[in-house]
Amino acid sequence: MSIEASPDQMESRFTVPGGLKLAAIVAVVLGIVAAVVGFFVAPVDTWVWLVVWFVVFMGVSSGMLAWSAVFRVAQAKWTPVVNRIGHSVIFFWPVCFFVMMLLLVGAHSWVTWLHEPAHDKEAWLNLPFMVIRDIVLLGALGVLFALLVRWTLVADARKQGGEELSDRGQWRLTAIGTACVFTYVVASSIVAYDFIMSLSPEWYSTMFAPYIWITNIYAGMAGLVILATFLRSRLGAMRFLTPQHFNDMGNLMLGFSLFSMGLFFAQYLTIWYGNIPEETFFIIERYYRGGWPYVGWPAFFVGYAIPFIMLQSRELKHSPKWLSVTAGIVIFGVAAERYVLVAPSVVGSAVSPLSVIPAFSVLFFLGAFVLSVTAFLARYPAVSSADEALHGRQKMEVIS
Amino acid sequence: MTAVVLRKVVGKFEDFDAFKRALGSLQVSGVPDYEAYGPVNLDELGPLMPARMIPRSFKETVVEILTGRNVSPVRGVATVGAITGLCLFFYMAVATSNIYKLIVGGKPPVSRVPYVVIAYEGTILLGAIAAFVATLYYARLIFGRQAMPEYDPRFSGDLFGVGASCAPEQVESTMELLRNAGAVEVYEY
Amino acid sequence: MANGVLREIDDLIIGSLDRPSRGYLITLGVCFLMLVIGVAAYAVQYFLGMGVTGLNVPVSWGTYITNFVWWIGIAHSGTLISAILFLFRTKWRNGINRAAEAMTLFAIMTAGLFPLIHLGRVWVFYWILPYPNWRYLWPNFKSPLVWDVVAVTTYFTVSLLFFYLGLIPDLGTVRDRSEGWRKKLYSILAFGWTPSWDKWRHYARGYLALAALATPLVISVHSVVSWDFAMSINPGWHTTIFAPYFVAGAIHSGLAMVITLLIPLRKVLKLERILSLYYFEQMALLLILTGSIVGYAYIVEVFMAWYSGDIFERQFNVIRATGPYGPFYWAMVFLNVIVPMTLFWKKLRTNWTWLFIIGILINVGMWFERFVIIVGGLANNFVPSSWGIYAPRLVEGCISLGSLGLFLLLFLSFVKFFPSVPMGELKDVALEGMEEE
Repeated sequence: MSIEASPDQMESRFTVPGGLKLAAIVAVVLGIVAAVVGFFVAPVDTWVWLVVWFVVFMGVSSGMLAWSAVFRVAQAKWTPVVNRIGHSVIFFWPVCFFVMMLLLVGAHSWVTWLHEPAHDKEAWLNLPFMVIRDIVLLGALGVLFALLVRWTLVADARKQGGEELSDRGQWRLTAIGTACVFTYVVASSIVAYDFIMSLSPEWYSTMFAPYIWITNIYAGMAGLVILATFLRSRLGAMRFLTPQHFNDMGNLMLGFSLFSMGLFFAQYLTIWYGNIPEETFFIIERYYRGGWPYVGWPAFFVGYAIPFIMLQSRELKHSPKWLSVTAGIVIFGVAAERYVLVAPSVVGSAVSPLSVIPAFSVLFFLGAFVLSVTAFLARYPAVSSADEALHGRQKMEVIS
Repeated sequence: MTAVVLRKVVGKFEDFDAFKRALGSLQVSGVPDYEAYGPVNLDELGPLMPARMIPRSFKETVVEILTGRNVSPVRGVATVGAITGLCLFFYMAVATSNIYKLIVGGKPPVSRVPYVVIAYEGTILLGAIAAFVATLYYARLIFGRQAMPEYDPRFSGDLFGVGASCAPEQVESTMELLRNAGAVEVYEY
Repeated sequence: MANGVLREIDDLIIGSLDRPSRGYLITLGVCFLMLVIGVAAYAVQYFLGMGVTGLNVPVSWGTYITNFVWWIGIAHSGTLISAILFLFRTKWRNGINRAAEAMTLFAIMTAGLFPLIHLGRVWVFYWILPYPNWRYLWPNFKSPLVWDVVAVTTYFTVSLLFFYLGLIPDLGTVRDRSEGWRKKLYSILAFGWTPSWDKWRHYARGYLALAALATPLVISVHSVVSWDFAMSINPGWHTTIFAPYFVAGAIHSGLAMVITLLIPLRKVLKLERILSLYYFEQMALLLILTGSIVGYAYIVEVFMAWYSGDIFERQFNVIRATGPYGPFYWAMVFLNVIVPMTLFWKKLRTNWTWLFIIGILINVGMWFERFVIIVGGLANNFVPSSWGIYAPRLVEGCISLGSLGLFLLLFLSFVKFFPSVPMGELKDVALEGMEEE
């Protein structure tokens, strides 16, 4: 069943429900309190959790923006609203950047190789270089994403004013989208190296960075699904968020869940087969021996395998509600996996029971996310007219 | 009661929309059965066809697959094939390594990790074979022909066709219906 | 009018099955000659033994395995275009998927020969197949070589089924439009297809199911091929990124091959009006993507070797760039990554000549990539005393030429017997286009 929106509905903008705003603000405060308390009772675990949440939220939000850029580059015609939802994350970007600065300031508390310098790797693993490359790359990525969003919004405003979008204007958006995708790959790789992989400085795997940014894209799609479900009736743009659209998004998640499992397996198999000590210890600690496998394997199944089975169902993919439940499971699983990737490197098997408290710093991220995204959507139209205008361009001629 | 001999009315269409219109009105006209022909994938016409319907929910899918009614069961068969392949190939790898239980290099004879590869390929192999055979079987290709006297070779080229089986008293009205929908040629077979 | 377009599609495509032109026959003859040369060279190798090749210790995998990996890679774009783009509902796949699928099939057949050619005792090749036997001797399923056998045979089977299922409605059309012995032939081949809704609905499900199975398969096949190397602990071979890196490379070379083959073909078969520039532009855009992924993998490999601090990895990368195979390495970087970036310019990606040239260049580059990985990885091992060098000899060259001849021969015969452009799917697009208007 598709629901047609009248033109005036399309113009209607999202108003932030008062209760939601309040809840988000409370969440932010509670999250900060959890972190502060955490610093007193279990400082190392608090840093670990901050790194984990940074990696998760940075991953999901950059994944969502990356989807907007990818859809733009691929000239996808069905995603004007999905793109806009992706754009809305740009307001969350400063929060991520702020947390990253905080993490860099406190680097001595969680960056393991600062205490036991890794032999032969000083050229890459040194603090000034790490600070510079993270700030430069993530800054560049943020700027490019912001430009993508800004240019699209400007083009929208023009379109709304009755102007036709020139080919040149469309080309400009596609070009900035391409730049975003390239920078996303590079910057995400560096985040994967600096905030996850190099915490076990002896370990290295060529697959690791691609694995992280591809699973981020996967989780980003899950984020888009959740936001789309939540905003579906509120945005008044139902004709771009029909069950068919959710089905398509579900299929993309399905594909990426299988692909992610494939990458996981490719890395696992290569290390298992090679059986080289400097590679295997990372896997053994997380998936083989001790307590971590009890988190590691469930995280894998919850994040990838179970969604893969759930997403086989057409009915589920057509139902926004159930699809967003699946998406929630995905993000939860991916977050748990990130925890397993980060924590053992820093704290080994000695997880303080009190680390439950700083785990709640997630509330800060959640609240900030909700506040920023809703602020964006309240300000700008829900339908990205520039992307909608792709309709009718580049027709395929069967016989010329 | 004597059996009613159904008679066949054939309508040919050049225009796809007219063809769909005709199917739509046939559906409500009370004609017991009709078939559609056309050179493009007609799968999407499901809602316009007589009540051999597309399932709407999981439960209906299960019911219709079990009772053998009008859902295409091809996907279900493919899934069964795929799961069989998964189990069979994994079993093959495990069972054949267990024939000679020699410990080599301190490793157990059965190694699960690499056998995933074998099981994965088996899943796809048997799944695909099942899908292919199921398609041939259910679409009655090779496995038995249907008599389709109304078939016109141009149905695979540029014409769309409707063949309606109707009771003798419906023939006239059906022909009228097809003509009204925009058929270029209508006749009783 | 819908009707006219549909008829025109049929006329043009069935017209391409008419009596071959002289140019076509000459090309066919040349390909046959190439094949004969290859067979003769193989006869020499068969009777004289593997000593006639350049293979040695330590480089025991050379041109043949390179060819194997390369041909399997070529095969990948067919499945990409027909299955993955089908699931993405990309319209432009409909014009070229048949040719790409046929290419897949013939490329796998050609590829499948190379492990056999590479065998010293080819007459016992069946030992690697899993079959119940006398002393319960089964292949070792832990071995990547056995995975390879399973994966490649699966790939061939599934591609064949997928290809044939796609062909059935078109064979029905050809049957309905032809006469005499041709009608009889196509009646048998079409399996009794009639385009009724009752058949279409099962057909559509079956096609979708096969597409959904072929997509994960295509990714797994080249992953398995890459694991032939990655499972070892050789520097340059043992690296976790190999699976996606090989898959991307495979699609890269496969797309390039589709472009290379279809540009002359549209002239030969007089299909210029159907195979328009639009398709090639879309493929060119995909080439930018795959080229970038391959480039990313090159960079990550070098970076990780440096980052790892492992002296063997570092040394290997230095040798790879500056050693005897250095020129190949730089050629591969240039041809696979830099050259496709020129397609960012619309002028270049809409230029037939440049597209054709770039298709060949990328294929050469991808061959170099396989060569550098396989031979380079073996030639420079951990211990300098065991280093070696390999250069292909005449026999290997002739057999490689023969494989190209075989592939082209099969492909050229195919386009004269089967509709090389899917008619039903093009009609779908044509109708949709009309509905939109």
